[in-house]
Amino acid sequence: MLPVAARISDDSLMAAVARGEEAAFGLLVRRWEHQVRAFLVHMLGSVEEAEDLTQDTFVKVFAKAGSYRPEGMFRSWLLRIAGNLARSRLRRRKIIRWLPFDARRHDRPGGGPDPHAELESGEIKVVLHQVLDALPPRQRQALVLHRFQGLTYKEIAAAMDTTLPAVESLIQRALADLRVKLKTRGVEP
Amino acid sequence: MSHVTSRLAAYLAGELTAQQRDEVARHLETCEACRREYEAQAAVWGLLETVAEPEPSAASVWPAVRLRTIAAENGNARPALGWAAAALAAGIILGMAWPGGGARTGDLASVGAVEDEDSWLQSSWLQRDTGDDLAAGWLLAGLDENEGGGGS
Repeated sequence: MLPVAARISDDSLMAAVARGEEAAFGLLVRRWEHQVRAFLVHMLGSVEEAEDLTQDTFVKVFAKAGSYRPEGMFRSWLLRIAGNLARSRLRRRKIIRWLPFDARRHDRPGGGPDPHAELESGEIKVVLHQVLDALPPRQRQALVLHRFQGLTYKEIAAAMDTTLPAVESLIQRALADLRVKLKTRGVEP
Repeated sequence: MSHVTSRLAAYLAGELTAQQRDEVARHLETCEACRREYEAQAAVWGLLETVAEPEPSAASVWPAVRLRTIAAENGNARPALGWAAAALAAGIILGMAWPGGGARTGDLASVGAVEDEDSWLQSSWLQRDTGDDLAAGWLLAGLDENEGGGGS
Protein backbone atom coordinates (compact mmCIF):
# COMPACT_ATOMS: atom_id res chain seq x y z
CA MET A 1 0.00 0.00 0.00
CA LEU A 2 1.29 3.42 -0.91
CA PRO A 3 2.19 5.88 1.85
CA VAL A 4 -0.56 8.40 2.55
CA ALA A 5 1.47 11.29 1.12
CA ALA A 6 1.98 9.43 -2.17
CA ARG A 7 -1.75 8.90 -2.50
CA ILE A 8 -2.58 12.58 -2.36
CA SER A 9 -3.09 13.71 -5.94
CA ASP A 10 -1.17 16.57 -7.49
CA ASP A 11 -4.46 18.41 -7.98
CA SER A 12 -5.22 18.16 -4.27
CA LEU A 13 -1.75 19.40 -3.41
CA MET A 14 -2.15 22.33 -5.81
CA ALA A 15 -5.49 23.22 -4.24
CA ALA A 16 -3.74 23.25 -0.87
CA VAL A 17 -0.87 25.36 -2.25
CA ALA A 18 -3.40 27.88 -3.56
CA ARG A 19 -4.88 28.01 -0.06
CA GLY A 20 -1.47 28.78 1.37
CA GLU A 21 -0.39 25.37 2.64
CA GLU A 22 3.38 25.44 2.68
CA ALA A 23 3.55 21.75 3.52
CA ALA A 24 1.64 20.91 0.36
CA PHE A 25 4.03 22.98 -1.70
CA GLY A 26 7.01 21.26 -0.10
CA LEU A 27 5.62 17.84 -0.92
CA LEU A 28 4.87 18.87 -4.49
CA VAL A 29 8.40 20.18 -4.99
CA ARG A 30 9.92 17.04 -3.57
CA ARG A 31 7.64 14.83 -5.63
CA TRP A 32 8.53 16.46 -8.95
CA GLU A 33 11.92 18.14 -8.64
CA HIS A 34 13.90 15.20 -10.00
CA GLN A 35 11.80 14.89 -13.15
CA VAL A 36 11.88 18.64 -13.75
CA ARG A 37 15.62 18.74 -13.26
CA ALA A 38 16.20 15.76 -15.58
CA PHE A 39 14.02 17.36 -18.25
CA LEU A 40 15.95 20.62 -17.96
CA VAL A 41 19.32 18.86 -18.10
CA HIS A 42 18.25 17.25 -21.37
CA MET A 43 16.93 20.55 -22.68
CA LEU A 44 19.89 22.69 -21.67
CA GLY A 45 22.78 20.24 -21.57
CA SER A 46 23.95 21.91 -18.39
CA VAL A 47 23.42 20.60 -14.88
CA GLU A 48 24.11 23.97 -13.31
CA GLU A 49 21.58 25.81 -15.46
CA ALA A 50 19.09 23.00 -14.93
CA GLU A 51 19.41 23.41 -11.15
CA ASP A 52 18.71 27.13 -11.41
CA LEU A 53 15.75 26.70 -13.72
CA THR A 54 14.34 23.92 -11.53
CA GLN A 55 14.12 26.48 -8.78
CA ASP A 56 12.62 29.03 -11.16
CA THR A 57 10.05 26.51 -12.31
CA PHE A 58 8.74 25.86 -8.82
CA VAL A 59 8.76 29.54 -7.93
CA LYS A 60 6.49 30.03 -10.95
CA VAL A 61 4.33 27.08 -9.92
CA PHE A 62 3.79 28.80 -6.61
CA ALA A 63 3.02 32.14 -8.24
CA LYS A 64 0.51 30.54 -10.63
CA ALA A 65 -1.10 28.16 -8.15
CA GLY A 66 -4.26 30.23 -8.07
CA SER A 67 -4.79 29.85 -11.80
CA TYR A 68 -4.12 26.10 -11.98
CA ARG A 69 -7.09 24.11 -13.26
CA PRO A 70 -7.43 20.74 -11.53
CA GLU A 71 -7.92 18.54 -14.58
CA GLY A 72 -5.44 15.81 -13.73
CA MET A 73 -2.77 17.22 -16.05
CA PHE A 74 -0.39 18.62 -13.47
CA ARG A 75 2.71 17.03 -15.01
CA SER A 76 2.00 18.60 -18.39
CA TRP A 77 1.30 21.96 -16.75
CA LEU A 78 4.51 21.75 -14.71
CA LEU A 79 6.63 20.75 -17.69
CA ARG A 80 5.08 23.51 -19.76
CA ILE A 81 6.41 26.02 -17.25
CA ALA A 82 9.82 24.34 -17.22
CA GLY A 83 9.84 24.10 -21.03
CA ASN A 84 9.02 27.77 -21.48
CA LEU A 85 11.82 28.71 -19.13
CA ALA A 86 14.23 26.39 -20.96
CA ARG A 87 13.36 27.78 -24.38
CA SER A 88 13.72 31.28 -23.07
CA ARG A 89 17.16 30.39 -21.75
CA LEU A 90 18.11 28.84 -25.08
CA ARG A 91 17.01 31.99 -26.91
CA ARG A 92 19.18 34.05 -24.61
CA ARG A 93 22.12 31.78 -25.31
CA LYS A 94 21.58 32.27 -29.04
CA ILE A 95 21.79 36.03 -28.59
CA ILE A 96 24.90 35.69 -26.46
CA ARG A 97 26.53 33.60 -29.18
CA TRP A 98 26.32 36.57 -31.52
CA LEU A 99 28.19 38.79 -29.14
CA PRO A 100 31.88 39.30 -30.01
CA PHE A 101 34.70 37.72 -28.04
CA ASP A 102 32.71 34.71 -27.00
CA ALA A 103 35.53 32.29 -26.49
CA ARG A 104 33.21 29.34 -26.02
CA ARG A 105 32.40 29.38 -29.72
CA HIS A 106 36.03 29.07 -30.67
CA ASP A 107 37.07 26.01 -28.80
CA ARG A 108 38.24 24.30 -31.97
CA PRO A 109 40.12 25.91 -34.82
CA GLY A 110 37.74 26.09 -37.76
CA GLY A 111 34.71 26.08 -35.47
CA GLY A 112 33.12 22.90 -36.81
CA PRO A 113 33.24 19.37 -35.51
CA ASP A 114 35.96 16.97 -36.43
CA PRO A 115 34.15 13.73 -37.22
CA HIS A 116 37.28 11.64 -37.52
CA ALA A 117 38.59 12.69 -34.14
CA GLU A 118 35.16 12.13 -32.60
CA LEU A 119 34.82 8.68 -34.05
CA GLU A 120 38.36 7.78 -33.17
CA SER A 121 37.62 8.72 -29.60
CA GLY A 122 34.67 6.35 -29.78
CA GLU A 123 32.42 8.77 -27.99
CA ILE A 124 29.23 8.35 -29.94
CA LYS A 125 27.25 9.30 -26.87
CA VAL A 126 29.02 12.63 -26.74
CA VAL A 127 28.13 13.21 -30.37
CA LEU A 128 24.57 12.19 -29.65
CA HIS A 129 24.32 14.78 -26.88
CA GLN A 130 25.76 17.40 -29.18
CA VAL A 131 23.32 16.71 -31.99
CA LEU A 132 20.45 16.69 -29.50
CA ASP A 133 21.61 20.08 -28.28
CA ALA A 134 21.68 21.30 -31.88
CA LEU A 135 18.01 20.49 -32.53
CA PRO A 136 15.63 23.45 -32.74
CA PRO A 137 14.27 24.04 -29.21
CA ARG A 138 10.67 22.98 -29.87
CA GLN A 139 11.75 19.79 -31.62
CA ARG A 140 14.09 19.01 -28.77
CA GLN A 141 11.41 19.76 -26.19
CA ALA A 142 8.91 17.41 -27.82
CA LEU A 143 11.47 14.65 -28.27
CA VAL A 144 12.82 14.94 -24.72
CA LEU A 145 9.33 14.95 -23.24
CA HIS A 146 8.48 11.76 -25.08
CA ARG A 147 11.72 9.82 -25.15
CA PHE A 148 13.19 10.76 -21.79
CA GLN A 149 10.22 11.90 -19.73
CA GLY A 150 7.76 9.30 -20.97
CA LEU A 151 4.95 11.70 -21.86
CA THR A 152 2.37 10.63 -24.41
CA TYR A 153 1.77 12.79 -27.46
CA LYS A 154 -1.42 14.03 -25.83
CA GLU A 155 0.45 15.08 -22.69
CA ILE A 156 3.12 16.72 -24.80
CA ALA A 157 0.47 18.68 -26.69
CA ALA A 158 -0.78 19.99 -23.34
CA ALA A 159 2.76 20.69 -22.13
CA MET A 160 3.60 22.62 -25.28
CA ASP A 161 0.21 24.24 -25.74
CA THR A 162 -0.16 22.79 -29.21
CA THR A 163 -2.04 20.11 -31.15
CA LEU A 164 -1.47 16.37 -31.52
CA PRO A 165 -0.57 16.63 -35.23
CA ALA A 166 1.93 19.37 -34.36
CA VAL A 167 3.54 17.12 -31.76
CA GLU A 168 3.75 14.26 -34.25
CA SER A 169 5.33 16.58 -36.77
CA LEU A 170 7.83 17.98 -34.26
CA ILE A 171 9.00 14.55 -33.17
CA GLN A 172 9.12 13.26 -36.73
CA ARG A 173 11.24 16.21 -37.81
CA ALA A 174 13.44 15.85 -34.72
CA LEU A 175 14.10 12.21 -35.54
CA ALA A 176 14.84 12.92 -39.19
CA ASP A 177 17.03 15.86 -38.22
CA LEU A 178 18.94 13.76 -35.70
CA ARG A 179 19.60 11.15 -38.34
CA VAL A 180 21.01 13.72 -40.75
CA LYS A 181 23.10 15.40 -38.07
CA LEU A 182 24.51 12.09 -36.86
CA LYS A 183 25.37 11.10 -40.41
CA THR A 184 27.15 14.41 -40.92
CA ARG A 185 29.20 13.62 -37.84
CA GLY A 186 30.07 10.19 -39.16
CA VAL A 187 27.65 8.25 -36.97
CA GLU A 188 25.28 5.85 -38.68
CA PRO A 189 23.66 3.65 -36.07
CA MET B 1 -1.25 3.87 -49.90
CA SER B 2 1.10 6.86 -50.11
CA HIS B 3 4.48 6.76 -48.42
CA VAL B 4 4.53 6.67 -44.64
CA THR B 5 7.75 8.49 -43.82
CA SER B 6 5.85 11.25 -42.03
CA ARG B 7 4.34 8.72 -39.62
CA LEU B 8 7.38 6.68 -38.75
CA ALA B 9 8.17 8.44 -35.47
CA ALA B 10 4.59 8.00 -34.26
CA TYR B 11 4.78 4.37 -35.40
CA LEU B 12 7.97 3.84 -33.41
CA ALA B 13 6.50 5.71 -30.45
CA GLY B 14 3.41 3.52 -30.38
CA GLU B 15 1.21 6.57 -30.84
CA LEU B 16 -0.82 5.36 -33.81
CA THR B 17 -4.23 3.75 -33.58
CA ALA B 18 -4.42 0.03 -34.31
CA GLN B 19 -5.74 0.73 -37.77
CA GLN B 20 -3.05 3.29 -38.56
CA ARG B 21 -0.37 0.93 -37.23
CA ASP B 22 -1.60 -1.88 -39.48
CA GLU B 23 -1.62 0.44 -42.48
CA VAL B 24 1.95 1.54 -41.87
CA ALA B 25 3.08 -2.04 -41.26
CA ARG B 26 1.46 -3.22 -44.49
CA HIS B 27 3.05 -0.39 -46.44
CA LEU B 28 6.48 -1.17 -45.02
CA GLU B 29 6.15 -4.73 -46.27
CA THR B 30 5.82 -3.56 -49.84
CA CYS B 31 7.71 -0.26 -50.09
CA GLU B 32 11.46 -0.60 -50.15
CA ALA B 33 12.13 3.15 -49.81
CA CYS B 34 9.93 3.55 -46.74
CA ARG B 35 11.36 0.38 -45.19
CA ARG B 36 14.91 1.70 -45.57
CA GLU B 37 13.84 4.98 -43.99
CA TYR B 38 12.09 3.12 -41.19
CA GLU B 39 15.17 1.05 -40.41
CA ALA B 40 17.36 4.15 -40.32
CA GLN B 41 14.97 6.04 -38.06
CA ALA B 42 14.46 3.01 -35.83
CA ALA B 43 18.22 2.82 -35.35
CA VAL B 44 18.35 6.46 -34.24
CA TRP B 45 15.31 5.87 -32.04
CA GLY B 46 17.14 2.98 -30.40
CA LEU B 47 20.30 5.03 -30.01
CA LEU B 48 18.33 7.52 -27.94
CA GLU B 49 17.81 4.78 -25.38
CA THR B 50 21.52 4.90 -24.65
CA VAL B 51 21.25 8.49 -23.43
CA ALA B 52 21.76 8.24 -19.71
CA GLU B 53 19.38 9.72 -17.20
CA PRO B 54 21.06 12.66 -15.47
CA GLU B 55 22.49 11.86 -12.07
CA PRO B 56 19.98 12.85 -9.41
CA SER B 57 20.97 15.86 -7.37
CA ALA B 58 22.05 15.17 -3.82
CA ALA B 59 20.30 18.27 -2.52
CA SER B 60 16.66 19.21 -2.84
CA VAL B 61 15.81 22.60 -4.31
CA TRP B 62 13.04 22.94 -1.76
CA PRO B 63 14.86 25.05 0.87
CA ALA B 64 15.94 27.55 -1.78
CA VAL B 65 12.53 27.55 -3.46
CA ARG B 66 10.88 28.15 -0.13
CA LEU B 67 13.08 31.14 0.61
CA ARG B 68 12.50 32.60 -2.83
CA THR B 69 8.74 32.24 -2.62
CA ILE B 70 8.68 33.82 0.80
CA ALA B 71 10.79 36.69 -0.49
CA ALA B 72 8.51 37.07 -3.51
CA GLU B 73 5.49 37.05 -1.24
CA ASN B 74 6.89 40.05 0.56
CA GLY B 75 6.29 42.08 -2.54
CA ASN B 76 3.31 40.21 -3.96
CA ALA B 77 0.14 39.31 -2.17
CA ARG B 78 -0.88 36.34 -4.43
CA PRO B 79 -1.57 33.72 -3.27
CA ALA B 80 -2.22 34.75 0.30
CA LEU B 81 0.11 32.67 2.41
CA GLY B 82 -0.26 32.69 6.12
CA TRP B 83 3.01 30.86 6.52
CA ALA B 84 4.94 33.39 4.50
CA ALA B 85 3.56 36.27 6.48
CA ALA B 86 4.23 34.45 9.73
CA ALA B 87 7.81 33.69 8.76
CA LEU B 88 8.44 37.26 7.74
CA ALA B 89 6.80 38.61 10.86
CA ALA B 90 9.05 36.42 12.93
CA GLY B 91 12.02 38.04 11.21
CA ILE B 92 13.41 34.66 10.33
CA ILE B 93 14.54 35.13 6.80
CA LEU B 94 14.54 38.78 5.91
CA GLY B 95 18.25 39.10 6.32
CA MET B 96 18.94 36.04 4.22
CA ALA B 97 16.47 36.54 1.41
CA TRP B 98 16.92 40.22 0.74
CA PRO B 99 18.10 42.12 -1.16
CA GLY B 100 19.31 39.34 -3.44
CA GLY B 101 15.83 38.11 -4.26
CA GLY B 102 16.35 34.64 -2.82
CA ALA B 103 18.90 31.90 -2.62
CA ARG B 104 20.23 30.21 -5.73
CA THR B 105 22.15 27.03 -6.23
CA GLY B 106 25.25 27.29 -4.17
CA ASP B 107 23.57 29.16 -1.38
CA LEU B 108 22.46 26.04 0.35
CA ALA B 109 24.81 26.52 3.26
CA SER B 110 23.07 29.76 4.12
CA VAL B 111 19.75 28.10 3.58
CA GLY B 112 20.77 25.48 6.08
CA ALA B 113 21.66 28.20 8.56
CA VAL B 114 18.22 29.68 8.17
CA GLU B 115 16.66 26.32 8.69
CA ASP B 116 18.57 25.87 11.91
CA GLU B 117 16.88 28.96 13.24
CA ASP B 118 13.48 28.03 11.99
CA SER B 119 11.96 25.54 14.34
CA TRP B 120 8.96 25.23 12.09
CA LEU B 121 11.10 24.11 9.19
CA GLN B 122 12.56 21.44 11.38
CA SER B 123 9.16 19.86 11.74
CA SER B 124 8.78 16.38 10.38
CA TRP B 125 7.23 17.25 7.03
CA LEU B 126 10.52 18.46 5.61
CA GLN B 127 11.77 14.90 5.71
CA ARG B 128 10.72 12.58 2.90
CA ASP B 129 10.47 9.66 5.25
CA THR B 130 7.97 11.36 7.45
CA GLY B 131 5.74 12.73 4.71
CA ASP B 132 3.01 10.43 5.96
CA ASP B 133 2.66 12.35 9.18
CA LEU B 134 2.20 15.54 7.27
CA ALA B 135 -0.29 14.07 4.88
CA ALA B 136 -2.18 12.46 7.70
CA GLY B 137 -2.27 15.86 9.36
CA TRP B 138 -3.89 17.40 6.32
CA LEU B 139 -6.36 14.64 6.01
CA LEU B 140 -7.32 15.03 9.64
CA ALA B 141 -7.59 18.75 9.05
CA GLY B 142 -10.20 18.12 6.41
CA LEU B 143 -8.23 18.11 3.15
CA ASP B 144 -10.16 15.97 0.74
CA GLU B 145 -7.71 13.47 -0.70
CA ASN B 146 -9.85 12.91 -3.74
CA GLU B 147 -10.43 16.56 -4.41
CA GLY B 148 -9.77 17.42 -8.03
CA GLY B 149 -9.12 13.84 -9.13
CA GLY B 150 -6.15 13.14 -11.44
CA GLY B 151 -2.60 13.93 -10.54
CA SER B 152 0.62 12.02 -10.90
